[in-house]
Amino acid sequence: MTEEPASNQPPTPTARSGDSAKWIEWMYDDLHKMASSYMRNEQNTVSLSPTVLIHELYMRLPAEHNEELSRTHFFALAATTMRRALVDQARFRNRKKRGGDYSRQALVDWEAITPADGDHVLAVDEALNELASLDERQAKIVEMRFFAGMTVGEVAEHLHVSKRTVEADWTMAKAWLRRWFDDEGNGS
Amino acid sequence: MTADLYQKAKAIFAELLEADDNQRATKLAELRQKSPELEQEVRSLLDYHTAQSLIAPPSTPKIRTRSTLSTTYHTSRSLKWLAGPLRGLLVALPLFLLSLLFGYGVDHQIRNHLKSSITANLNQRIDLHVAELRQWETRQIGRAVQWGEHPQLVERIEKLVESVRAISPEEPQLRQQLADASCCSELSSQLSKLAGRPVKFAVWDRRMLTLVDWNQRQQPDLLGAQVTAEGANMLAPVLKGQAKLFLPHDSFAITDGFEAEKGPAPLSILVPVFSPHSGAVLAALMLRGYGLEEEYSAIFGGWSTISKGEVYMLSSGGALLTPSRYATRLTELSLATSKTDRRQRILVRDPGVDLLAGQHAAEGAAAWLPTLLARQVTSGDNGVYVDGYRNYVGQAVVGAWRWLPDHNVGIALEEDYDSAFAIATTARNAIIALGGLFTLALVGFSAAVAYGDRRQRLTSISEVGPYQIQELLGEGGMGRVYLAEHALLCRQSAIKVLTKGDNDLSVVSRFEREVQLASQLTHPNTISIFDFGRSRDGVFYYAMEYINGAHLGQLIEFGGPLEPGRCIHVLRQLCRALLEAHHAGVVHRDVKPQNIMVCNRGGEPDFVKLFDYGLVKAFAPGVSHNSSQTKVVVGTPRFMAPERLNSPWLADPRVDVYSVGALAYYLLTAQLPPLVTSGEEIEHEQPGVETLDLPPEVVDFGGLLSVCMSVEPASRPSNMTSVLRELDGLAKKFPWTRDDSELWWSKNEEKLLRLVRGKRKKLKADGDRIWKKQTPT
Repeated sequence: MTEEPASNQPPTPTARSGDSAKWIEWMYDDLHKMASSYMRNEQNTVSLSPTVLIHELYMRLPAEHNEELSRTHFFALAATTMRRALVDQARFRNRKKRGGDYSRQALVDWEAITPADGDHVLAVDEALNELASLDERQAKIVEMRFFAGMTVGEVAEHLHVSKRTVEADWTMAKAWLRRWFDDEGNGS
Repeated sequence: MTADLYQKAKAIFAELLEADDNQRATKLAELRQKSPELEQEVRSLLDYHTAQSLIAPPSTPKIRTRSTLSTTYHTSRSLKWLAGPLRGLLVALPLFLLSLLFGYGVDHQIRNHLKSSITANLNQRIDLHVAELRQWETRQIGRAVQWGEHPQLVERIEKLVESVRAISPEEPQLRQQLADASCCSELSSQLSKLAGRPVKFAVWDRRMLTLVDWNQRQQPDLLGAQVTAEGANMLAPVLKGQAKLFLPHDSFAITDGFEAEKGPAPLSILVPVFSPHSGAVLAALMLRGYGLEEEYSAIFGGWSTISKGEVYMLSSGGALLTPSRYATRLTELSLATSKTDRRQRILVRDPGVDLLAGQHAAEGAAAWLPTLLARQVTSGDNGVYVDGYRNYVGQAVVGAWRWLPDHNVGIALEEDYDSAFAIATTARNAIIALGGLFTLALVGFSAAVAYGDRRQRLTSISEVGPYQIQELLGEGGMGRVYLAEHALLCRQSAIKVLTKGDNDLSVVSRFEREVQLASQLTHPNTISIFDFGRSRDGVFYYAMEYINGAHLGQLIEFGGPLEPGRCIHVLRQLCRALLEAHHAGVVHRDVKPQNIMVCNRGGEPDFVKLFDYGLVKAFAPGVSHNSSQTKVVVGTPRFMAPERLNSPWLADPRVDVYSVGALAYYLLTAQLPPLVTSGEEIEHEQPGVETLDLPPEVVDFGGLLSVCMSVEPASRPSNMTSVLRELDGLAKKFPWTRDDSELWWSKNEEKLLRLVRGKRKKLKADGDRIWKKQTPT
């Protein structure tokens, strides 16, 4: 972790195409490391939430980059990357369970879920994949709110929709997720 | 549930969110008429929206049935706590409690034994003291009685008694008569002769009138005087013919008006004087001052020197009659003293605190109560108490006591509680120390065993199964690869040892699966698996052929980009290996430079070996394995097909096609392929040949690379055969012969292998192995 990889510099402004990929690549390494120590819940690491981790990353971004990449866009990208990093990490760390067979009895309520728990992350990931097949925007909203802690306003700004729409989507997605966890928890 | 239905439900959901209960009911009823399915969905979502917390009942965890290997592992997993860091604690805690219990029992036993032995000892000693005192008393009385029977002495006293018999005590004549009589000096010389030293004496007749007193010249008033009430009590038994010894008393005045001389409290013997004619008692003779007090204190002194504790006498009033052991500190201790006694005797009372330790009693001495011993002994009790009580200076003591009713005094023996139980205290400390040491040793031992066990298994493996470990070759996500030699075959092999999560069922089964699938492949360009097993130390390993060469990352680092012809040569071998795998129904999923070795062996230069099927995944139903559900994403994003980032469990042969394309790009340009994602934001940003930025001499590869590396799997060649065909076509343009390979290897082999060996040395044993950057350098 001490070595500073060459890719750990924010991408320099180039042609618009491929920007997102570069950003994700830049973030992935850092978020992966963060997710790793975050999930390990090490004594010496301050218990950070993914949101804090992303904010920290954003702070490290040189000011001149703020123009080419808006804050909300950065956070939206980071949400996806964080989700991926956490899911990867959770799968690796998930010692007791094999593959997708994480135990679902641990899931009590969607509201009680934290991204710190590998099982939770895996379950949320699976649920979101399923939700995305029904309504992509809702899944995206949940991802942004859950993994990057974005506010409804920020999400709305990023998606170019009204706050009301985001709120309605968020409410429905929450209900849907609750039901999903309930169904899963009841053993399917 | 389809997306279409969900979208409809969404619209209604949003509408009903703001509606009140009545409106909702109406709307839902309407909806049921039109589409029951939609109504059910919306109702269900609304229910879940309203419910604030829904607690799902716990379901039974899913248990997989596994192959024998994993099943046995399952069993050992239930004992996993024994290997964990808690092991020391879990073993030590019950043992600690057990030793605590044992120690308590032993301590209790020791104390009980000691108590009974202290009780016996104290009883024995106090009885000995009493016996000694009695013996001395008897001897002294016997001596005095003898003197009282001396004929001359009796004759002289009889004469005096007869001479005053008729004179009544009121007549002044009596005193005159007594003073004139030469009796006193005669008696004095007589007794001095008998005792060998001056004797103090006095005589009382049957009327209890003082007839003679040794000091009558100084105190003539005493002659003919009446006795005090106490004196009468003392004289009465003597006048009945009984000799008696009186121990130092609170008061000592037989005759009214007598004043005792200064000095220690006097000790006296009273003997009757019998008439030689009638045998009746003529008078009572008191004897004292011939060394009785000295003898008496010598007895106590002797006891105090042989005893660790204190022996003392106490009166019925609870006052100390003998000198205190703490005589030198009495003034500073401010003990309770008798107010009525002119000698200011110490009262045997409990101060409530340890005065010797410098503590100060809460209440004044007047409020103190008698000590336990004083209470018992003054009530006429004989006994012993070994559970500890405070003595008159507040020290914890054990004690025994006897009441001497004839003298109306108690005799007490007290000893320090701490010194009496010193052995028990020592024993207790020893038990505690031993128990502590035992526990510590146990914890240390088990920790050392656990640590050593793990260390030995992880770092200093020298033997795995029949293989002798020689050198560490590399380190992967799940384990280490060692160069090893089969003990019997003497064949060099590479041994992959599972070091990560060997307690973890999923890791073990992944390892197991890797071997099973890889061993089915027989293509010469795929590494061959020799052996799979678990060593006696419980380490999982598999053996494969050892390739003395370099992986593609090292090759590029060594010589820069490959010539196009050579690149095709390498890729064709790789594709053939993958082709066999795909035909067998498995996808490698982790094709990257580090997993492809190039070597010169058996006369084959530039021979390619594909290995590390760690992420291999069966995709055809025929080779389905239970663990194919594994969703672990491990891999290098640069060589990973973009769809795998989003769906890591994807098992499509086209995943490998992408990797081959990326690898080709890397080999041709010595540059890392661009990272491609398939997230929704970037779906328009497909990397084309223009973003690949190929050098002009290999621009012909552009077509192949861009199709292989296209984001959409559907746009890629559907199988390895097509890729091979493309490569065959390019090979015509970029010829590469066996001679070219041989020339390269003859020139560079030594240098390349030196580089590889150098890398191995630098291989760090520690660090974040799983997530360390795997980008080729």
